[in-house]
Formats: sequence, structure tokens, C-alpha cells
Amino acid sequence: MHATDERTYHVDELTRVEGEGSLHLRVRDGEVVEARLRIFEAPRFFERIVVGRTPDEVIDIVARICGICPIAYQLTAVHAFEHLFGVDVDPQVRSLRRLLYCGEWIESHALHVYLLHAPDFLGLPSAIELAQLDRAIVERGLRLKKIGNEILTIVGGRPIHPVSLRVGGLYRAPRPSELAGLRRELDEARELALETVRMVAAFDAPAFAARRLLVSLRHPDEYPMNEGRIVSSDGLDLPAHDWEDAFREEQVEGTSALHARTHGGEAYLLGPTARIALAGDLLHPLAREALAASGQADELATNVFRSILARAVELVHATAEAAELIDAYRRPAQPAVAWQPVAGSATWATEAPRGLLFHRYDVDEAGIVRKARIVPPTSQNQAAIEADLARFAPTVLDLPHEEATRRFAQLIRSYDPCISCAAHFLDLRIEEAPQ
Amino acid sequence: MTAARWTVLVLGDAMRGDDGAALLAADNLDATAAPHTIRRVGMLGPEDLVTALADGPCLVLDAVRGITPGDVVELPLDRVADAGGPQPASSHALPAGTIVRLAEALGARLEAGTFLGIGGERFELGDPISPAVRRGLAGYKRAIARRLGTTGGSRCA
Repeated sequence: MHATDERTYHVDELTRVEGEGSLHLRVRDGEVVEARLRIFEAPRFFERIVVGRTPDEVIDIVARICGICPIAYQLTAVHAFEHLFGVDVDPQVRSLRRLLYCGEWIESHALHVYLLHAPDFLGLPSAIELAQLDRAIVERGLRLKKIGNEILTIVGGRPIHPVSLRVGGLYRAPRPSELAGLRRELDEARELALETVRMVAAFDAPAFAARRLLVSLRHPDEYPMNEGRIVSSDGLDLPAHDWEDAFREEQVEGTSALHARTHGGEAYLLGPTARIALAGDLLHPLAREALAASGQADELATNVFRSILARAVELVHATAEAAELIDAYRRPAQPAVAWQPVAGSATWATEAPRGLLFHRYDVDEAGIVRKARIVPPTSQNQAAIEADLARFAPTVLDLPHEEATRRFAQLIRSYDPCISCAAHFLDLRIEEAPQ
Repeated sequence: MTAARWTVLVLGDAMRGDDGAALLAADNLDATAAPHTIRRVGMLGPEDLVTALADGPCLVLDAVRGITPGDVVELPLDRVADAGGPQPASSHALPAGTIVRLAEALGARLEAGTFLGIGGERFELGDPISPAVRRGLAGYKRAIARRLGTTGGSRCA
């Protein structure tokens, strides 16, 4: 590269990053002095439109934030309101909510592993070429995704923007007979998920070891989904509703984006990699065995390219847990309990497929939302992504343009940035900074 | 004689202004249209096309960018995968062209598929349907009914 060169990379393949954004790298003497990932953040819009709404209206509205992870947005809001209002739901309702989360993880992880990320590891431009090369691989991913969708359809009412969740419970609890067909499909899904782990464990991943601050929920008895305490790899441990005690958002100069950091200014990483590092002992035994058999459990915590394995392991967990939840299910006498609004701040965090999602709603004595804050995992991961891009760039800048572009794209996809919470295409620009 | 039953895949998000136009049109289709099954899929997946095209003819409805708002465009499904021209505007997880090509690679018979779009101008979250699209909805519904009634075979149920 010449000192005065400005090289621009248009990375159309990053349509496989779901959303819209751009990456700008400034390079001096072969080192990246600035990496800036710009991402469109739909949740910020929703922070305004939920103002003046009742809690149950909020549950319906936030489902629209993301077509991939609506359950995460809905359940985070549900738990926030129920925590503030002192609502205890029927244990079977709790199980159904966990089943919904399993469905969303299955759908989201299958989409990412098979259609978005696997082509990178196989040196293919997209899932189209993967299907042409080995149709059975893509069909396996689509089958898994479909089973995840079916959970959302049966328990959530429909696969996109589900409608069954409400504060106090569900609008309707399915009959056990409605779950019977799903139960049989989950046996198949579990086997497909185990095959997924074996497939991705055989992928060659670029060497890229880095210690990062990892953050996730941790529950005493269960793999973290919708309840637990916020923990980190440096010893943080606080209730799920106290996210603001440890983290803050800051405006990034020259952009409209907010990035989250610890109060000490540290970037941190969320998502399946962090969950397995911090709560892997609570994975379903089948998932733990699959992870151990991969031989990559240690590398998983330091090499973000291995996040595809973390998603595959969580596919095993979600399929196995979903089957057990259905086996133990008894239809509750009432799908929901009554509640009374209480003025105050409703706050909670749950584990979306891409990582910890935090909501805060300030409500008045009638339960009407007066102010809202929605902090999606993608914007929390953003500072860590930029730090990793800066660390990774020197290893690829001397590669041919096309190969360097492919490696950057693969790294960004490793974080699975979310669709409405992130990007439709990514414009990657590498600029040689003046001396 | 039994007609091949159409599957109508309806895409879009009602909260994104004109992106919800196809959903509105599908809510009140002409009752005399040929036999059809409507599936509101929101975001199109390759499996939606593979399944639909395995059963018979398939009509995909969505709002598009690149034509006059309110105008209607009909394309063979195969053309949706081509670069340029009117493009679906929904915030799909994968671009529509990729979805169509992926479905083809998985064995979908694209020749049995048709895309019918309506031009939009407002696609931001919270936008209302634009006046141009509201005026164009009647023509869009007629185009849908015409397509279902003409290419799907006999109307004998």
C-alpha cells in the first residue's frame, strides 16, 4: 500500500450481516489507528414510540424491533414490568416462555450458522454456492430453522412478531396435544444440531486469540435465557435489573450511535461465546458432551471466529431443553394472572440470541410509559467488535484486496450483528492516514 | 377439472409505511379470484419458496423501490434475482435475490413463480402508507386477482 493511497472496499457479501452499516478503518504505518463500525439502530426509534403506551401495548410494539429475535424484545419488557409490578406467573407459563426462547435461539442460530456464516469457512461467496455444492447442508439448516419457527407459531401465535406474550402470563396457553407434533420434530432437531456441531468443529478458523471482557446472565439452575444475574469474566455479579449500575452508553463522536461500555470504559463481548464461557456448566448434558467432543472448548473463549461453534452448541442445548420442557408441560389453569401498575422504573435483562438485551421503562402510577431505554446486544458488542477489527487488521492488510475483504467480512459475521439492530449491506473503507 | 391452487406469499412490515402495502392488499382480495392459500411470511425465506413452489404456482407480493409509487410491477420470479430494476423493499434477513437463487439451488421451480409488487416511497419505521400507494392499492388488488385468475388454470374447485 502506498502512503497516500486510499483504498475502498465495498463488501456486498455483508448483506449476510443483517442490517445496514459501514466500516471505516484508518491505517498508519501498517497499524490501524481507528476502526469505526456504523450501524443503524432501530431500537432508538422504538424508545420514542412506546412513550404514552400501556405495558401490554409495549409488548406488542417491541416485537416489531426485530424479525429475527422478537421474543427477546418481548420477554425483556415482560420481565421488566412484572418485576416492577410484583407479578408471579404460573410455573408452566414460565416454562412456555422458556420454550419460546428456545425456539428463537434455534431459528436465529440455524439461520446464522448455515446461511450466513458457514459459507465463509468453506471459501464460498454465499449460501447459494453452498447449496449448489452440498444441498443437504443447507437443507439441514433450513429444517432446523423451520422447527424453531414452529415453536414460535404454536406457542407464540405466529412466527414473525408473535402475539401470545403479555404482562402476567400469556393470552393463551397451548394444549399439550398441540405440542405433541413439535415434540417429535425436536428429536429430529436434536440430531441435526449434533450434526451441526460436528460440521462446524471441522472448520478451519483463522488464528486470532484475544482476551476480552465477557458478559452474560447466569442463573443458579439453568442455562441463561430470561432470568439470572449479570456476571462477567472479571467477577462482576449483579441482579439482571441493575445493568445500569455497571454499564453506560456513550455517544460516539461523528455518529448518532451509542456504544455501551463498563463504567470503567472497557469494551465487552456478549453472546453465545460469553454465555458458554460464563455458564457452560449449565448447558444441557448433550450440549456439554458435544462441546467437549469438539476439542475446541478452550479456544472458544479467546478466538471469536469459533463463535460459530458456540451457536451450534447452543442449538443442541435449545433443542434438547425444548423437548424436555414439552415432556414436563401441563396446561396451566389460567394462562395469565391479574396485575396492578406501580409507578417506578421497570428494568430487566435477558439473553437474546446475540447476547444480553437490557430494557428500562419509567412508568407512572397508571402504568403508562413516560421514558424508555432499549440497549440491544449489537450496540453493546460494537466497541468490542471495533477493538477486534483494529487488532485483526494488521494481519490481513497486506493480503490481496479480495482476500482481505473476505477476512474482514468473516470476522464481522462472527459477532452476528442483528438485522433491525444492525445492517442491509456494509461499506468497508480502509484509508491510509497522513503521516 | 381441478385448478392448481395458488400459494400467495405476502411480504412486508405494517409498521414500515408502504412496506405494509402487500399486507393491506392481501387482506381484501377479490373473492372471485382463483383458489389460493395466503401465507403472510413477513420476511421471505428460501424454504417458503421451496415449499410453495412444490405445491403449485406461487405469487409473491411485496412493496418495491425503483418504480413510481403506487404503480404495479409484475415479474417472473427468476427476474427478482437479477440485479437492477425494481427491488423488494422489505427488511429481509437475506436479500430477495439471494433468497430466490438459494431456493432455486434447493430445487424450487422458479418458472412457476411470479412476483407482483407495488411501488412505495415511505419505508421508515412509523411511516404511514403514502397517498400514492393508497391510491394504487385498488389497482394492485385487481392485478393480484387477475394473476390468480388467469395463470392458475381453471376456476373449477
